[in-house]
Amino acid sequence: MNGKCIPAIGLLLGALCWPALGAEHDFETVVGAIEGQLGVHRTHIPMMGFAKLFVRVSAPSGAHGFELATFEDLKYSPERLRDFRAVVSEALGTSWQPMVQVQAQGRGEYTGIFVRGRRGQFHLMITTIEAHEATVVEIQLSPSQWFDWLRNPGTMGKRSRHEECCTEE
Amino acid sequence: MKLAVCLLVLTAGAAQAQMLLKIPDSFSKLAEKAEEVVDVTLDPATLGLASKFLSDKDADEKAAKKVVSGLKGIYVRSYTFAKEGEYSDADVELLRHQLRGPGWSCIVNVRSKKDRENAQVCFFSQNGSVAGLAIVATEPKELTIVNIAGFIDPEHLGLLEGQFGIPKIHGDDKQKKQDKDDD
Repeated sequence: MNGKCIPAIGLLLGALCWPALGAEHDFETVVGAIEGQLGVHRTHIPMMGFAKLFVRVSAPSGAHGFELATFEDLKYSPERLRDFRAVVSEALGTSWQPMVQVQAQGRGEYTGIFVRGRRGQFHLMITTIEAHEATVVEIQLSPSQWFDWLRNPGTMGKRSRHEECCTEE
Repeated sequence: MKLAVCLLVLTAGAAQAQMLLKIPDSFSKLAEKAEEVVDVTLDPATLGLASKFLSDKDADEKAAKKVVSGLKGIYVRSYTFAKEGEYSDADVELLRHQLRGPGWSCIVNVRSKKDRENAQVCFFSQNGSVAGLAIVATEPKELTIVNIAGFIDPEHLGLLEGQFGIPKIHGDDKQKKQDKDDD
């Protein structure tokens, strides 16, 4: 490879990553807050960098980027659902609008979907928790894709809880 | 002049408060009993985002933009229970009582004896226009409350039904056929 190409590739990758930086900070804040509350660390997901690059380039189902963190083997009681909700809301702050919340108190399950508009893109932060597992996903969507989700927010909340990947049609 | 402006602001604020249904405190107990609670909040900020980013070029987006531009909020709360009798008429009455307040008129009542389903649709009027909407839908194992704040063109009501977390109210054959086709 010609050495002159390296700075150009660096600039290209930087341009691809730039819009995600602010949102990534919020994602890390939420993940950190959950780690603090639950006393666990996120599960390492191999090849995550490649998956993110693939999504950024190919934009499956209109998603232009995503972040994902999972927490496994939780020892979490349903009575603490409210604490989880409060921790997530506080970590996100007021720039994220809570849009959908689905709660099954008896099963100790909760899904919260928050939205934020930024530079012509919509960012959805999806947080779920159930008995032994918690997940935080951030997806970057185009306005039209976000509108498709918005048209059926209740289903969106339920689907987010029952499926691993939230952008599949 | 300042007094007139203050009065205008206060009056508008009072009307805004009236068109928003207050979820009774006792409903927190219903939430604990419910198998599932879905809470959809499309507040002014979220709807503002939608208006800002939806395109005028795409027909669907343009139509949606027109619908949401006059709205100040869409709030949906749905409780699903594992068995019948988990909520009472008294619980529902706490909501219906609010809909008998000033400005509200309930003009549509859809009732199905067979399925024991009931949906009451009420409008909040302000200066001769529809400035708010509320739907209280009950089924043996489900209670749904929809509250829309903002000026609504009656022609757009059909567009909102089945979208933004608002349930479909009309159970006619055409709609059922559409659902079947969608599946």
